[in-house]
Amino acid sequence: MKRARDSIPRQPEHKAQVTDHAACPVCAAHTQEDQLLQASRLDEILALEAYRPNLRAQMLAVFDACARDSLQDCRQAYRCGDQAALVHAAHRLMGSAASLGAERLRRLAAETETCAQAQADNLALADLLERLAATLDDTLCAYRHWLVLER
Amino acid sequence: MTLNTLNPAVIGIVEDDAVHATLIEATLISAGYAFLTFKSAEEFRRRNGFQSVDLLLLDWRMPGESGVSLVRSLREQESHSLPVIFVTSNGEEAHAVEALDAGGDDFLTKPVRRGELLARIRTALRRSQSQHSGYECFGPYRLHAHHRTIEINGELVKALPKEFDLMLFLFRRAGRLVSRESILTHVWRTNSNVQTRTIDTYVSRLRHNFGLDGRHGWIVEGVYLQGYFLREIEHQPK
Repeated sequence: MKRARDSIPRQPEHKAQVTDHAACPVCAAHTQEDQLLQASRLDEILALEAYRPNLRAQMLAVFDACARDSLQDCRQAYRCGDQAALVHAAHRLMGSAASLGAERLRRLAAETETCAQAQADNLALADLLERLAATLDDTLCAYRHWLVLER
Repeated sequence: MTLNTLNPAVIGIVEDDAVHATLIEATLISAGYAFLTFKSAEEFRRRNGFQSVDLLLLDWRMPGESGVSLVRSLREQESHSLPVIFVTSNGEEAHAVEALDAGGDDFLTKPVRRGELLARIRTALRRSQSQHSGYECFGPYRLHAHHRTIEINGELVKALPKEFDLMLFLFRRAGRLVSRESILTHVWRTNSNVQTRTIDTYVSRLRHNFGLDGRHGWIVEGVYLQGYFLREIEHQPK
C-alpha cells in the first residue's frame, strides 16, 4: 500500500540537498518526466471544484472509464494489426492524460502514437502497451490518494 | 446546459474526450458561461449546433468527421462568422497552420490552462461582437445589438428584452430554419428539453407587434415539429 505522501510526485533523493530546483537540470528533468500527476494541474482541478461540486471525483470516474476504454482499444488495434486505430486510440489516451495532468501516462501514450505511426516492430509496441497499462494503474492510484489527501 | 447570468455567450464544445470536456465545462462554469457539449462533428450538425452557440471550442481529431473538415464546411456557409478555437493534444506548427487556414480563429494545445482559455474566448467573442457593434439592417428593420433598440421604417419601437433577443436571433439567421431547441438554448438560456409554448407566444407577438407577418416585407413562418423560418417576401400579403 502506497503512503499517502506518494501521491505527490517522488523526487530523487539528492533533490533534498538542492535548494534551487530550477538550477539543477537533472532534478528538473526528473521532475518533469517522472511525474505521475502534475501538482499544478491538480491544483487547477481543485480550484474548479468551487464551481462544480465533486469535480475531482467526477474527473476520476470519467478518466478511469475513458482511459481504460482507450487502452482496451489500443490492445484490440494492436492484436488486429490496425495501425490507424492504434494511432487514434493512443492519441485519445494522450489527450485524456494531458487533461488530468498525468504526465508520465501522456508521454507514454505519445510515444505509442509515434511508434504506431512509424509502424514500429510488434515487440516495441507490445512493451509500450504493457507500460501504458502499468502506468495507468499507478496514475489512478496516485489520483485516489490525492483525493484522500485533499478531503 | 448551465443557466448563467454573468456571460450571455453560449460556448459550444465539440470534443469526444469526456475527460477534457468535463474540465472545459468546469472552466466555463467558473467564468459564468453557458455551454453545449457535442461528442462529435456529426452530433454538432445533427443538433444544428451552429445556430445555438456564439463560439466553438473544437477538438482537432475526432472519430468520423474531423474538426478541420467541420470548420471548412461552416465557413462555406453564407454569413458564417462563428468564432472557432481549435484544441488539440498535438502542438505541432503544421496543425496550427492547417487549423487557421481552414478558418479557425485560434489554436490551443492540451492541457488547456483556465486563464489562457478564458482569455482566448474573451478575445474571440470581442472580435466577433465588434462586427455587430453597429446597426444591423434588414429592409425596414434596424436593430442595434448594444443599445437593444428596434426601428421599423425609421420609427423606434419598444420591445421587451426577450422580444428583442428573439428578433435579433431570427434576423441573424434569416432564410434558415431555426429549431425550437436552438431558440430555447440561445434566447432563453434554458435546458432545451423543457417543453414550453413560450416560443410560440413570443413569435406571435413578433408577428403582431413588430409586423413580422409580412406587412413590412418579412414574415416568420412556423415549420411543423421543426422550428421557425424568418424570410423576406417580395410582396406583402393581402
